[in-house]
Amino acid sequence: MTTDVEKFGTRNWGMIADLDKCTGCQACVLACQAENNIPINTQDRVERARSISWIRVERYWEGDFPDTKARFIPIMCQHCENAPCEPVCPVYASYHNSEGLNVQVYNRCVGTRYCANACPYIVRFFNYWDPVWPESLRNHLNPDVTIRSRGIMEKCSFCIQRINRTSRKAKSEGRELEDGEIQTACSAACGTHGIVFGDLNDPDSRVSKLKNNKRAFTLLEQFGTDPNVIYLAKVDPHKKGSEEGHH
Amino acid sequence: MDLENKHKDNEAKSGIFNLPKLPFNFPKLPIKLPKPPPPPTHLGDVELPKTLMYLLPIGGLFTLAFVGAIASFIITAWWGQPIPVLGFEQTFDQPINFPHTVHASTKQLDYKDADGNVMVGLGTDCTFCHRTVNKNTAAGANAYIPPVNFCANCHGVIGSEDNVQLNILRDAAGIIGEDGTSPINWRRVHRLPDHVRFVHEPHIRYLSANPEHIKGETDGVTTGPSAVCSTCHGNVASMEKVYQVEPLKMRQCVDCHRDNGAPTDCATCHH
Amino acid sequence: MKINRREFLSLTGKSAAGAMIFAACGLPEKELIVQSPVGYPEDLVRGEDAWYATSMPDYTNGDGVIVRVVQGRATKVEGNPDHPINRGVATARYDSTLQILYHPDRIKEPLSRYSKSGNVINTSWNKATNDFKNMIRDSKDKITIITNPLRSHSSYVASEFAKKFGAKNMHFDPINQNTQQNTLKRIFDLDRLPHFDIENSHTILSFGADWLSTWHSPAQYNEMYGAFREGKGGDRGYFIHVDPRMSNTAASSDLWLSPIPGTEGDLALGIAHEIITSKLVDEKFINKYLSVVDINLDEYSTSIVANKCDISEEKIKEAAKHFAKHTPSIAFGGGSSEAHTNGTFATIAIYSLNILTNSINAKGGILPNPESALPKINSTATGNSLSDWENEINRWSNGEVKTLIIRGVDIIHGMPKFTGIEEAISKVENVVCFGQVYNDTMEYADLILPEDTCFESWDTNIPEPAPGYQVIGTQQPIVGQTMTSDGTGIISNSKSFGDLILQISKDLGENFGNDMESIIKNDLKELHGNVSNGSIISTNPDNFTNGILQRGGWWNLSNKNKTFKLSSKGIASIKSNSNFSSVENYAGEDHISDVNHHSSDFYLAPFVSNSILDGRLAYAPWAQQTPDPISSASWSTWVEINSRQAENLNIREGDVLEITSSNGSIEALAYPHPGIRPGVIGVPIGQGNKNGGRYAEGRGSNVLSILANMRDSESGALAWAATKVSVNKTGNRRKVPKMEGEVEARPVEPGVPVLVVSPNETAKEAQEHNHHQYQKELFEKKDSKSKSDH
Repeated sequence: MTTDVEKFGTRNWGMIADLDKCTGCQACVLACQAENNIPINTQDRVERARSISWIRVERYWEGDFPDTKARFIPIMCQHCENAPCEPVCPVYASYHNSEGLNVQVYNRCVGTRYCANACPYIVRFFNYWDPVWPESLRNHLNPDVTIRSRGIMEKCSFCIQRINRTSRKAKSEGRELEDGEIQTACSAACGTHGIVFGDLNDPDSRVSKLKNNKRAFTLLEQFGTDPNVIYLAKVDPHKKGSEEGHH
Repeated sequence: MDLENKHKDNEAKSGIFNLPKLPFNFPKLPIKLPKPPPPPTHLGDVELPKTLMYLLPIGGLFTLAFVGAIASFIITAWWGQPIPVLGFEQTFDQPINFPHTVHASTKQLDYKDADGNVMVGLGTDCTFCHRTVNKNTAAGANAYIPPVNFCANCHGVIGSEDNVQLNILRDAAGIIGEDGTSPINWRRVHRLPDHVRFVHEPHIRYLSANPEHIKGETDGVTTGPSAVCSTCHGNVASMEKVYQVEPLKMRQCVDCHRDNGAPTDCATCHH
Repeated sequence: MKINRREFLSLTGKSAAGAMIFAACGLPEKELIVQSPVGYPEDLVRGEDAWYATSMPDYTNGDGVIVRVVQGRATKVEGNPDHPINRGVATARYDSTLQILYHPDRIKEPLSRYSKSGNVINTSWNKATNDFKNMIRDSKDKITIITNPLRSHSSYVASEFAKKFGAKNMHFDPINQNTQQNTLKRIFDLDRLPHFDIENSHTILSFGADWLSTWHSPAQYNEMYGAFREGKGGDRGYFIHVDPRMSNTAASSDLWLSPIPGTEGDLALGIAHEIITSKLVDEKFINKYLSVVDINLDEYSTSIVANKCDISEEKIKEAAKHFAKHTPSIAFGGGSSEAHTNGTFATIAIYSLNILTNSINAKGGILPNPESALPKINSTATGNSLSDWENEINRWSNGEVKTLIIRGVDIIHGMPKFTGIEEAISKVENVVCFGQVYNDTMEYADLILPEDTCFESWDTNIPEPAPGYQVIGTQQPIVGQTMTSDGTGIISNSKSFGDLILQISKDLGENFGNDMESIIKNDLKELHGNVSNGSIISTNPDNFTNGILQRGGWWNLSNKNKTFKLSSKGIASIKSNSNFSSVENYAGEDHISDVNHHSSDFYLAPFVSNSILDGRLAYAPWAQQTPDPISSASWSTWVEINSRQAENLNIREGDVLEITSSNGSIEALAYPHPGIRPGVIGVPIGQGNKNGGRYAEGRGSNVLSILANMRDSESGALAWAATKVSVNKTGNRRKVPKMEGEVEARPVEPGVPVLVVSPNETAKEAQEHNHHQYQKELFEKKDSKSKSDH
């Protein structure tokens, strides 16, 4: 007898973000907001630095006029294999599942915010207020995603509702998941196909191949968090190569 | 002498910190109270206190019973469903008295049709009306109620013209009446706890393939997707008004998932 | 009150019994209601998870989108992977359109105003339609119908209506493209925008246009930019961008040139001069170029141009070298580079660079676009030029227009104040306005008609620029009349613009179609008879039509019938015109761009917002809150100013600045950053709505309102980037609502977090190198510190 769960736990979801393709256009930010029922970041919330965006595009300045350069990097939960947020949670609301996801269980969370303090990437957000939508705007809420109430933490889930939905679909059709079949909201929206999502355990998947790219690096590697989000470095033809630098 | 030195003096004397002397005197204890009057020697002379003596323990028992009832109510509600008292029924009057018996049962019914013949249930498959339930879509997450037009496909013709209940439907579908179409607001009967994402489709698929895990019985058809519904919903085909049979709490879900080797990862249901 | 388990936990602490009773009987009525609507749209066309293919012509360049519909409600918009324009990708604006559909302040019923200064009152469709008919009947030949530039069946209906009732059909676009369209027509004999083959190009040289976020067809360009960056065979493309302000297009470039505003044309000629004198390209192409651009290029030698534009000679040489050598290459421009008084000159100089690299009609260069596949619909549409509008506004003032029909534009918000539009429009007897949210134009309307959004109505769209072949995008209603989520009422009793115009015309005796749906379906069936190949092949016209609707459009990859030729006629006419040689260039004669200059004079560089566009999406809270790519600001109007100059002027972030032009002044918050030329301020367009629902109303200020009365000398288009302003501190200071600073920055050492590598370097090498460099600097600092301590 084959069960539904035969494949569960054999995958390791990962994401590649190519910084050379990132134009900072914010399409991923809005797609995530719409997909995951993130409350409207009102002006008040933005000014108090309490807005929630599971994925954000950070912009760093380099140099001064006229040689200014702006560098963009999309930052979302890195789904670390050694996640600093997991051991600090007193109620096990933040845990690692066997598919490489760092999961936040909303109904366990009691809002200690320890995890937010532990996270070096600052991608965990606390709901300081109950989410409010005017009556008519509740129409566009995604029925697949829980609306988080006041007092709990939330963060990028790698669009687990899409992973579940697509895996289910493949199972019901009696076939294996194809590479690229699961698209997170951000990877589907990315204007330059710069965000790629897939199974890192599958050696033929696009993410596995891109992981071995010479430009691949992980964010804040020195902390040893072993993230499942892998970035490809930005290429600058004007940068002096390191071979001329210190060798 | 200032206060500080006074303290020091006191400390020096006793080795512990003493309060400075107060400017007035407390009455010395024990205070002498006036003597209580002697207890009444003839109880029979006083009617009311005697009754009380019997009533108090009874009242205490009542209070205990009341608290106990509330406590058991809380406990049952926590583990399962609240006891169906005090308006906590599991079923409601719906906008239309929709009898599942007529539509789903395969047995003989108490109803009589317009010609006076005893009716036998239609025995339709559950998925005939709840069409999305075994589909892998967001809509399939709920076994949602068919649109009014779908009901009107049949009931535009079938059923007596005087049937009050059917006329509510016909009015909503715009067949009769002049106010156009309007939706029907049904009341939800089955309600899962918060934070649960439940999708019917994989459950129906699994149980259809593994019928030995089906629990419950049905008066309806026993083949196809309908056969498995009774596991969680009970014998809906026999219900005039649908009510929730199983508690549908997490324990029940996890037990079943464990027994059948389904994932028990939190993120399977909570996201 | 809804109690969930979490709140239950917190309540049990206080009173166990109380909490439980709440939890058990506190279930709100809403939670218990399962609505059974009359019909589900999902039942009409079946698709997996009910994703419908449609398009949104009002907010995009006809990008194909798929919309997820759950229980009759649209919940998510994504790119249509099949559609050749955007090939599955999205922009930062797609989902915001949902909030226009479900806007809490959507106009529910037709509104009518009985006296010009009175309030609007609700009225019925019956009465509104009758009023509308009477207005048209009474003002035959004195009607003007204004729409946004559309290439769709709606525009067909509008123009047909104009023909039948003697009306004038005008198009309004606050950021118009007249100069570019005119120039392309003149020098390349192109009737419509060409296709820029960015995907196959190796070098891009773009001027002004913010093509990665708002210009023309950003989703299409973004998609191609991804492929350009990847490069064919690992040959990563090289991208040069010219813009005084660092837009997010400029931020993505490998070489950013920031000229003094208005000198973009000189820079283009300077690059040409460098290519020619250094003989970087084949003699053949140089001769061809010189025969077309017959001016004394010595006036544009590298040193002269470097001085004029204030860009270093090395950078100009580098740009020229890459553009000429790393082919195929492409040069294009628009946006702020064409919005000067010498816009036509600059645009000709920019586009003729393509002659030098033989990029015209070549792979990786500029490719022509064919004409529309539907004979009824134009393949091109632009806003009318400023001169046209001035004539039109004069007609309003003189009472020559009795009825004004406005659809899809907020003309009062978008038109500069010096045109006197506000006084003129109040002199028009009947103003009829279509729209979803009460906007500034409706303030002057006598009849306001709630209009369907693109998710509720039938339409088509011919994208411009097309991807080099014929494309038709279809738009179909994917949600029914929208109920509020508790099912107690409807959000808007709206009607489709096209349907209403058709119905009214029919009632007035001019029948040119029953409704949009039937016109569109008929036209698609006709198309079936005319074409033999394309994305849908079927023998049955009905199947053909359904196939198109299911896939969201029709396209014909093989159809590339139109080629384009250089027209020397266009060049010659410009040549004889004295304006061609660098013109009374308003910029460059003084040196306010000096960092140390203390004057309060600045060049104003308005730019289209990445999220709310020209204000079309300002009503949507998602669009309002999306951080700007460069400043990360939201919900407000801010002023980008060079950080070093701001320091000299003692301007800090959040200072409220008053920006004054000859035509008025606005206030906005200072945001100093190093990515803008000193002497230039950048201000986003789109805010400053007096109306516009709870999210837009009274927010920020409208930079379009203070533009100076300047226009391109050739095309008559508004020179919206040519205004000179003075900037003064008001003394107030407020927090800029921005995402930056919300989390602490982490660049503890170079390369963290954005690691930059040179083309042949690995990430590991770069990281090690950065680390060594950092440690070296750290120890040197420590050494010098300990030395100074002793």
